[in-house]
Amino acid sequence: MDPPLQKLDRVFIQYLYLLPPIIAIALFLFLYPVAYAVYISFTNFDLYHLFYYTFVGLRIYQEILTSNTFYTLLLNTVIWTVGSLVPMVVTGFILALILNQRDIKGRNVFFTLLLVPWAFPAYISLVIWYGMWNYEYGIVNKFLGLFGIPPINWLTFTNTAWAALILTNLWLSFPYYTAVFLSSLQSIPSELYDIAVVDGANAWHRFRYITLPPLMRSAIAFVSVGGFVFTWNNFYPIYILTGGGPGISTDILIVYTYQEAFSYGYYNIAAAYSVISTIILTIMAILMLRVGRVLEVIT
Amino acid sequence: MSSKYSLKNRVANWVRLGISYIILAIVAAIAVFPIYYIIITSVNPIPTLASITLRSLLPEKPSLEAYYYILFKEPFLLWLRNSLILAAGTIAITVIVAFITGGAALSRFNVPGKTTLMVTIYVMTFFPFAATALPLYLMFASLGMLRGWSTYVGLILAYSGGTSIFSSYLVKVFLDRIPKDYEEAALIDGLTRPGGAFFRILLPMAKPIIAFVALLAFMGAYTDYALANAFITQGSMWTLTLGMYYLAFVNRATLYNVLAAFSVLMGIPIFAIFIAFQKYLVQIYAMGGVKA
Repeated sequence: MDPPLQKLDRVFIQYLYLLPPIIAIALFLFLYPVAYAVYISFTNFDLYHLFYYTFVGLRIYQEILTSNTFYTLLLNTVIWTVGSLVPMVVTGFILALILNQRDIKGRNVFFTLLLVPWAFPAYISLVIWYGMWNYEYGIVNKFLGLFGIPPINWLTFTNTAWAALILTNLWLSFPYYTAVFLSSLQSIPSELYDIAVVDGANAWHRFRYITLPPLMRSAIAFVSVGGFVFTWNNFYPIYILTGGGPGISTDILIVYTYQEAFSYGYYNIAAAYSVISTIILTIMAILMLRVGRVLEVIT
Repeated sequence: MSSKYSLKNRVANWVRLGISYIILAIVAAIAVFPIYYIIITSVNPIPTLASITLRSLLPEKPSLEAYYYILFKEPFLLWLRNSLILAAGTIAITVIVAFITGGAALSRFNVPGKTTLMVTIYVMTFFPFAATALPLYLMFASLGMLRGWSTYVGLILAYSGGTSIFSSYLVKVFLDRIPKDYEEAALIDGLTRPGGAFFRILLPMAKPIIAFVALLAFMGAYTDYALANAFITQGSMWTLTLGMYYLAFVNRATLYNVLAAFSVLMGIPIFAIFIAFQKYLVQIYAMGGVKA
């Protein structure tokens, strides 16, 4: 055995005894739940068929895919995800650029203030926002009243409900994007900008050829995919603010799945929805990862 | 050099800085407002949402009445205890699982097909929690174990499954940055006991990521409403989130300043930790590239 291989083996052997717990954990905590959910989506297993359930093949999927509910939910999920993500990324990016200017004073103070929505637990913030969007008494309508705008019944109508949901979500999440973009902007050596100034590059050229390329390659693509997945499965804003209402006009896949499982006991339908949602999400994520070349980073 | 100090450039600079400060001030005000609003409401003698006016944003007679009420007239402390039990259990399991799988398996085993495995794990984090919690829920329900302390065992396992898969990915990304040479050097220096390299070398160097994973696990359990709502059937087992949901949406008699005091008591400790460690937390989030 040649020395390098022997050395490698010894490090490997050091960890070999961890193999059984790793396999057990992976099976029990990760693989079993997913496999189980996939399995019951092919059966008629629900609250009313707890002990005597049978295999029904693709029937549940067929029912879901031919129902209007599914397409409404899918459209809503896309509106929710894209409608939240685009303003978040844009706001985060602009704020990061502003904070990254070298002659800004009090950068740390501003940065800390901007982090506040992220630092406070989102669940509590959403309960607070629910009160703030209230039609008669909410502070939002009272502020609008200062400008002579009549009170708006935010959460009762589909369009205003979407506006309230997306604005709340923007408030909750923009600090994350600001922080991540700022940290990658600050990793660009300032010498590059000095050299560019000497070479006569104007502000736009410095932005276009120095600031943007490293961001485009990693940060924006990376956090956008992560943010897309997170927002797609973000349960609490819609569950707390509108509960998917009015009707199901602001309901999204994850909230509907939860209600099907834990409010109505249709475990198989919930499982099938999860499978469909995950497949769609995976396809989108892989497309975006390909475009953004993020796979190299995570593997 | 002369052009740099020309009048035109100086005006452009002022305009740029002026606009920057205005934007930052407005965004900072919006960012801070809801938290300010809830703190002010909690020290205001305001019984309902209806009595909140723009003027009450600057309280005239602050009082701690609402805090007395939430702490001693509502079962806040019981809910807090329950939340902390769940959080402690989740932290313990998540840290161990994430470190063993993420640290040892994903970062240090060079097995074929590891790339596929990483992508699979990444994709598995896409699976909605509502479905992955189902098997545990049904198992505990069918065994009649959604009563008493066994409820918490089920919940802790459900939380750990969710948080550790994400954490193990984070641990892997972090440990990949620690070169293997340290462990090899230790082996050459005679540290040959099985697990020696793991416990003596890798574990101490991974302290920051362990602290982060613990925080993540804590937040997962402490701020979860969805699973607690599904699993917990007894009032005495309620957590803070269930209590808050009840006071905010179910019990119409709740005084609004009491709810505000609840929010402050539950949220501010987390808030303080986050702000205190912000530099470090932001760094790890930027590294992981996954929002949580």
